[in-house]
Amino acid sequence: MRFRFDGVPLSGQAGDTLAAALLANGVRILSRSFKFHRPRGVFSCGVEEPNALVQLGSGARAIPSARATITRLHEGLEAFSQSGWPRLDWDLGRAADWLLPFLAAGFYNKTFKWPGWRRYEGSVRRAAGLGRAPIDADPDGYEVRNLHCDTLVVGGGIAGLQAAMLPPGERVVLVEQDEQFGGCAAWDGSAIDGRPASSWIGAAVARLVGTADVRLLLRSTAVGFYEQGVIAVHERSLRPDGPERADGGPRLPRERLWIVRARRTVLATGAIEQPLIFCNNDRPGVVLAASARQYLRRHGVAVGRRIVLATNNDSAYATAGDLHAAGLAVIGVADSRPEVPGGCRAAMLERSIAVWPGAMPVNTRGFGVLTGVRIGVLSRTGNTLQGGFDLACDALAVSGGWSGQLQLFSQAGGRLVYADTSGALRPECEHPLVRPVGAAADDPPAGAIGRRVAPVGDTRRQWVDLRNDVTVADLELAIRENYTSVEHVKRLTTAGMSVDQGKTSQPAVIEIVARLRGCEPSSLGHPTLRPPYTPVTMGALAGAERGPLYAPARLSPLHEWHASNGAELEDYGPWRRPAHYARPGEARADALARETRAVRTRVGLFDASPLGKIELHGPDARAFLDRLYINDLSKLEPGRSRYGIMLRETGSILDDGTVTVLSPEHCLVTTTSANAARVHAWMEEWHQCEWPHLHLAITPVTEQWATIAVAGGPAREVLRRAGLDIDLSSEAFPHLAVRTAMLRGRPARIHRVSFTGELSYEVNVPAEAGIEAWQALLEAGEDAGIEPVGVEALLRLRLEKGYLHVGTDTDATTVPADVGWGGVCERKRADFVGKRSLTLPENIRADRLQLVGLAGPDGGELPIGGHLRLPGSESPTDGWITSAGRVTLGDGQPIALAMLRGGRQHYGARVSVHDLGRRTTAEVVRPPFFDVEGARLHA
Amino acid sequence: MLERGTAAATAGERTAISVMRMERRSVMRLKTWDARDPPGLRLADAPAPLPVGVGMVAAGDPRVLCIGPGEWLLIGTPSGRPAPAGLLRLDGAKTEDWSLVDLSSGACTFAIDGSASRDLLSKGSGLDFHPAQLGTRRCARTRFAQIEALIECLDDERRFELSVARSYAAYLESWLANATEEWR
Repeated sequence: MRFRFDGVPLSGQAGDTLAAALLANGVRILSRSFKFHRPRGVFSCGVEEPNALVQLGSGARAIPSARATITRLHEGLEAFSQSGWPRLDWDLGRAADWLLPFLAAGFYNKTFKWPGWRRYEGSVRRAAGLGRAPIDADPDGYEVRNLHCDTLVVGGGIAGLQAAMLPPGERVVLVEQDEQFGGCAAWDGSAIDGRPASSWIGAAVARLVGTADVRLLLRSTAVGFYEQGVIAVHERSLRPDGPERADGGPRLPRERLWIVRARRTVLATGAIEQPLIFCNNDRPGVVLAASARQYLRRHGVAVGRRIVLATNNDSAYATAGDLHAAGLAVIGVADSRPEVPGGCRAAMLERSIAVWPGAMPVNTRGFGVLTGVRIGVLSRTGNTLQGGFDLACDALAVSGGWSGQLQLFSQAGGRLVYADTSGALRPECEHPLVRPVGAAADDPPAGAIGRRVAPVGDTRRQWVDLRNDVTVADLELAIRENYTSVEHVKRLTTAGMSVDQGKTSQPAVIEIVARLRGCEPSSLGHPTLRPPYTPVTMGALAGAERGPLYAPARLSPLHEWHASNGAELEDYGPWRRPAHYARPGEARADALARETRAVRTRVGLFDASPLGKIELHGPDARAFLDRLYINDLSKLEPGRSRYGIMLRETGSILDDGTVTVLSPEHCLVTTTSANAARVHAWMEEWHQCEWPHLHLAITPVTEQWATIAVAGGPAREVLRRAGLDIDLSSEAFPHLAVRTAMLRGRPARIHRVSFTGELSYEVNVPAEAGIEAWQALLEAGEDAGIEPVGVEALLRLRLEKGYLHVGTDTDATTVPADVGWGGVCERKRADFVGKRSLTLPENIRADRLQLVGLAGPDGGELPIGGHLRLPGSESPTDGWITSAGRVTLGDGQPIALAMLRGGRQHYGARVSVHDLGRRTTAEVVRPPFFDVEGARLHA
Repeated sequence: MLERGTAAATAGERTAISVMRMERRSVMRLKTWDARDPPGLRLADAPAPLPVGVGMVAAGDPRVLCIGPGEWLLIGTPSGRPAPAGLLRLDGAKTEDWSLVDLSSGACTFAIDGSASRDLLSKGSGLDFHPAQLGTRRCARTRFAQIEALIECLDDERRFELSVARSYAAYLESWLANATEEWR
């Protein structure tokens, strides 16, 4: 397979990871370190990799900070190093390494104070080599999928496969982050039940595949445990070969996030090998011993030609044996334990490999990559050196013990404890939902462990966290600065806070902090193990919810007509509605002026379908509504409507609309478009929780009806011409009345209500008949000069009338008295929701914000959001403009509604208006601005 | 937007799923305000009382879905007229203790058919669609693809109906087209 790294053409084998292929091609340096720009190479072979982070691909499909150790090689893959200037292997940033004494833990917080972090952030991030996020929209698909099971098994090694083999009928999900099941046993040559492990694994997988209700997921990582036992599983590289399948195969999403709800979870997550800590332990060529073995056995790749091993446990001896058997020069094994177990020693003797008990690396050398190591001979106590010797080598395979992967256990609330015998984190107690098994639960069979941290050397060069460039000296500094908790040490030094989440550093951090504090590691607790366990792309988190699917848009029954007749559609709450209907070449402001003028001088047609509509049936429907609205509805007769305001318990305005009594036990409520669902939920809550004894049923019917408002002087004539079969005269059908009728053979419900101040009717027909009714009304109004008008015109017209727009003119503190409805509340004797709160001193202060009108200067502008100051006021603000526009007829004077402190006391005063550095003045007036007597409304 | 009765995702040779927007049909919401479940409530001429367990569905024309305590949807055939209130009768209860509201024009339903139906549904909702949980003649109200939906299982293996408010039809159609891409 051909691929490129930093533009250099290379080749690899199918089944390789990118890291294996780069090692096979002799690429030793893959990145520069985060802070000091030290050269770094492949350190491990899995998700724990702290060094080999690369940028994959380019353009819109680029992925920053991908781990080369788990990236499948494919034909044409392009990878780039993320740091190093001008080149990765010749990096001027290396100068930072010389400044190491000045770049201690916390230097960001202590240094970049003035004039502010933002000034430095860009260059610091570039220098850190964090990769570049693509700017263009990702052309690939992603998805989120839900999954339920009885048992979720995390980890498809031997322990996981065994745990997944449950009785028939059990719903099981088994997730494995690797490309294959079996874990180490799939490649390390071990045997199970007397036969090759690979054979056992194959049979186990075949059995699971053939079992109903068992789902196996490869390349999938359980990244987090959340409330209610929800576990997020990130399935990656569903389409490793590129965005589109040339063979016409299924168009799979690039990645998938599974939301798994499991009754119980088994963690067969295994353990990760830990490093040894010594001077310059970060040089390219220093690699985890088990990873060196995996590269060799699984990929046929040697991490070096002359290899030294250093360990504090038994497991590295298997690596030594395999490397030797492959014909590589294994110089010897330094074991920090004073006594090496007989079996390990014998195995090495058999291969003539030297073993140095009581010895460990104390320093390395090399320019760029590793060329040699100094082995120190430990004293009997292990705290000092008795001597040492140098060895030339190009690879140093280290093993500092193993630590179980218990992040999910910790996130589920399970407690962990540092085990002195193994130097690893272990479960302290059982958890009702999550059960670790295998190497995650028990000490791995690696024998007792010896010293992990070299007793001597410059601690500023002893790296604990390779990813974040944290050294032992940083931990020492944290302790000197009185950070005693291991969690706080983590936060100051950032040890364990990078994309690898400290998988190869946390046990060492705990051990070193304990030593520095003079206490037992097991007494320290452990840092929080936060999700995600491994990085998750933003695409997988977003799933399909992006672009047009980001937020569901609601469309009116008349949408198709709007879309094909020049409507400029905009989002108003959840609804996509016509803002206005632009004619060719017409500016937005001109269209708005034309539409408002059409309503004032002729007649307009408006799609009011999004208006919330809720029906209430039952003998107690009216009594129920009377408890929710500030208005007295007890005497409202069938066939009549009333404007009403609904309050929260706090007395603030929740919503407004009309209440119509259709029959003694049948009411219809309208709400603002954005609040329909909220008001329905509010009603259900009061009915179900507070007044369940009231006999009624509440049914939202917004979607059932298309609602068309006909507004303007000729509205009555338009309805007649459209064929309405009822008496529309003012006497027979007054303002705030409702009638049922037939419109062109279909049942219709006609309300005489107005949000424009004009003679106006709302025609309600079943949704599927909406376009037909709309067109019928347009035809009927043709002679009268009817025009469709959008939301912007409607809002302008209601502003002229001073009609309240809840949510625009009000906020969560506005009470009825603030908007001129205090008298209605006082006159109503019966109780209603929020009434008691209206008597609170806060709600009756004279200097509350009150709704007033503003008349601006001719030719000027009153900006929405502009702040007001009263004459002589020393307050920064005395209120603000909530709605603004111009009068439709006449000189186009700017007008506005505003919340002004003690507003109604200031009619006639001039206030200054401040907006983004501009200043103007306006007169405080009493709304409305048009047809004060309401003659048009009642025409 | 698709015409009614056409497919959002069509079945090919190896396709595991098809999604079809259904014709308008009669949908009535029946709600009682009697605090007790009324076991005697039945449609005229219906052989059995209305189902009283939430999520239960009684077959017939109309099909009756119990969607909440004392709350049912009566779903008729596309050509059927909404059932007049007079067709209902109550055995052993007050006759005026219920309401019947026509919602036929406000709903939009997609028929989902195919072996991957449950996989498709699991992309939009956190419900458990295993046959043991949502099998034949079972329904559930849920949040699907960010919107409120009613899902009814017509067949253990593969047939479902997904109903949402009419205003979301175009959005859901786009969502379904995107979600079924992998089976095309």
